[in-house]
Amino acid sequence: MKGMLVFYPEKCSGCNVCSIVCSAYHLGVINPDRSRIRVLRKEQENLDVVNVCVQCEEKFCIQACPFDALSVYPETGAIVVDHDKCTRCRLCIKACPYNGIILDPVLNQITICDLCDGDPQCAKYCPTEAIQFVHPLASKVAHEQNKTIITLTKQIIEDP
Amino acid sequence: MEWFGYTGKILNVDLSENKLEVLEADPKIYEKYMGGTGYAAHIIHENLKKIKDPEDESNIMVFATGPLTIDGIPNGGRVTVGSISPETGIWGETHIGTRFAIEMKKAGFDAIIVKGKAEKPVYLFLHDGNAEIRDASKYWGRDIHETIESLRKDLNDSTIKALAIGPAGEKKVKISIIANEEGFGGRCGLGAVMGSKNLKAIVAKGTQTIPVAYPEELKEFLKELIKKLTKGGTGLRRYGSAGGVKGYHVLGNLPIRNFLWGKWDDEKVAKISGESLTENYLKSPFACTFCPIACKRLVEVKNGKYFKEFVGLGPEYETVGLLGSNLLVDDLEAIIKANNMCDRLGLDTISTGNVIGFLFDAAERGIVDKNLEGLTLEWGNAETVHKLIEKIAHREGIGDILAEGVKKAAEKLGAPELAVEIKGLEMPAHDGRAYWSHGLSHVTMNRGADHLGWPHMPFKGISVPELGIKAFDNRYIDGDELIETVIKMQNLMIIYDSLIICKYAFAAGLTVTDIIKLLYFVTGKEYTPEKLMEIANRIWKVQRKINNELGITAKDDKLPLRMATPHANRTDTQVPPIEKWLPRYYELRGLTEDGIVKEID
Repeated sequence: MKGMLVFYPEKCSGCNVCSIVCSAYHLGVINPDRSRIRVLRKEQENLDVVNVCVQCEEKFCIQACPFDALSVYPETGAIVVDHDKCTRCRLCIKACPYNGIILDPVLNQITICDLCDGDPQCAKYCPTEAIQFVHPLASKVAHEQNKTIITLTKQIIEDP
Repeated sequence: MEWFGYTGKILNVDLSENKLEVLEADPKIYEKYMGGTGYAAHIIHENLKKIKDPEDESNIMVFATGPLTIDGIPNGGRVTVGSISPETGIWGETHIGTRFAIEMKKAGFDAIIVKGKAEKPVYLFLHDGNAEIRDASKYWGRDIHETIESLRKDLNDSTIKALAIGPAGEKKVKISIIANEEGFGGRCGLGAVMGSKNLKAIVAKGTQTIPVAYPEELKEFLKELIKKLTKGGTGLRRYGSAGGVKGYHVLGNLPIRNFLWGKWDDEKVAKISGESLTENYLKSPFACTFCPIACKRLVEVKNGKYFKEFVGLGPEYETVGLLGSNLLVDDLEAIIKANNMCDRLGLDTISTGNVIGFLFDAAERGIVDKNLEGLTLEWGNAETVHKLIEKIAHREGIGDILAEGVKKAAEKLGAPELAVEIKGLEMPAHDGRAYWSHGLSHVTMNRGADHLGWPHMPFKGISVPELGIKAFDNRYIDGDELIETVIKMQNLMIIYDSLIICKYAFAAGLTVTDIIKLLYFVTGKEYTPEKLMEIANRIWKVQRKINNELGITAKDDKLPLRMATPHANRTDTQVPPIEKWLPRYYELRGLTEDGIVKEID
């Protein structure tokens, strides 16, 4: 199914359930550090932000890749990494304003949300409905909502 | 050897010698005591003779995780701190729900044993199998939030997790806590133990993976479990633990006017309830690591009486009970403020509400002056409550007396009959007159007045078929059935505290069978309900043995006068006949009739 992930920070309890079901689904291990979705918490401001690929309209990562290793998978709209072409230069990680891309520390591979083949586990298991999987028709609203994540993420990363 | 569910390493810290060593864990000890409270009790018992005075450097403290302190296990982000309590002089333990626990284990240590006293303020820094003692002089005097924030800045890492003490712990206030911004180890004044060791904080940063025996099966089972607990935790997530305020008021369980009354004004109670908190102040539910329940409250206050702009953690049931109804404070914003002050300065909200309740009570009776040090000591006066919290944390004036805990304060001020405590620990917001099971459990839990044996759950209609615990619809059943139920519930909760996982998982539907499955997938060992009960019994006895050696006998297992007297304004609640039950309780636990442990297997 095609659709988009939307994140509502005000609903997030910071419980990390999304990050464990993600790593369990993709890697068969439970390890939040290797998850495609991560919870950043700025404790003193009590701010939780989930970081994942939000399938932004601009596709900064594709634009940044010098090796044409990234593309959009038409069926789901998710970003796909061609690991044969990828040199792990990490320019995509730098370019992504949502902090949605990681380098898997074990596989040493660029790793991006693939929407779990149309059934995103994070949205399915989120106890507080802070992550939702919405229909493509709602994607305009979703894009707007997800832009707030840029601001919040920057706040957290730039000021430890 | 290969460890499943544990790192197999214990960090032994001697602050006097400025020495650190990593010890290999003994698998037999884990088998007998699991982790958490069990492990801590074992270590304290072994070293008991060396502890001369809980307030000096001879005291020992143990920070212990358990086999379920693992990435992904719901409600598994908890750590136990065990020591001899400076407040009660006997076994003291507290449990902290926080991201710190998993980080500490991923940093390579199942437990930390801290001995001695550093010459100047220090903090411990744990990272990936290494540990260091570092200078903490610049953090001394700062509150808990500021300390951890500065540590993050100075270490230039926003992802470290830490536990710290506030000014109250530094000044050895006996109702002080060990905490971070989100988890609070409130009971037994163990913040003062850290303070007396000059240990300001423990910082952990870890990336190790803890091996488990059956990762595939665990993964599949966790998905099922997360779904179940998400559903079962809906009520707690919606209103937080303070969602219990109204219901417990109806039953006479809510503390009111220093536990004198059993009933207050319904409207006032509604004003401070979890429903009211959700409606007026809730920003979002807030969770400890891997918890699908999220009972904690992130609240927001704008242009309030006490705050201009505030976002932070809101009060839980116990806090609303002790700093709210117990003091006749019906202003939720005032309670949020008091809660935040305690969290930052490092005070236990339960004990703090209790000692202030005592002071108001004493003032009303003319035992202390109503106008004291510029304060007006009267019920419901929120400004006075806030000022008293400051005074207690900094040991100023009357605060210096209250900082000793309600028992010693009441003795000093000449009104011991007004102190609501057991074995020196202040009574929490659960009343033996509302649930007889609580009465028996309060006097027999090993750290003093302690509601966390959760003996009221079967009397709220929850059964535990694996342990033969029936659900009851009568809160006042008498005799063997009650005694057996209390022991079984206490034991089950000791298992929770040893694994160590949050008790709200029980409320959300985690069964004993689920626990046994988790243990099997993680450790590869097969447990049965009987085996779990055997372990719990052993742990309870070790704790009791510690207490016996420190002078506790049957004479100390009694309710305070206030609790042994019917509620002043209601007739449907009743005082439990504890004395009648104790001989049978001792027999089932394997104690002599004087309440002394015969032997530990």
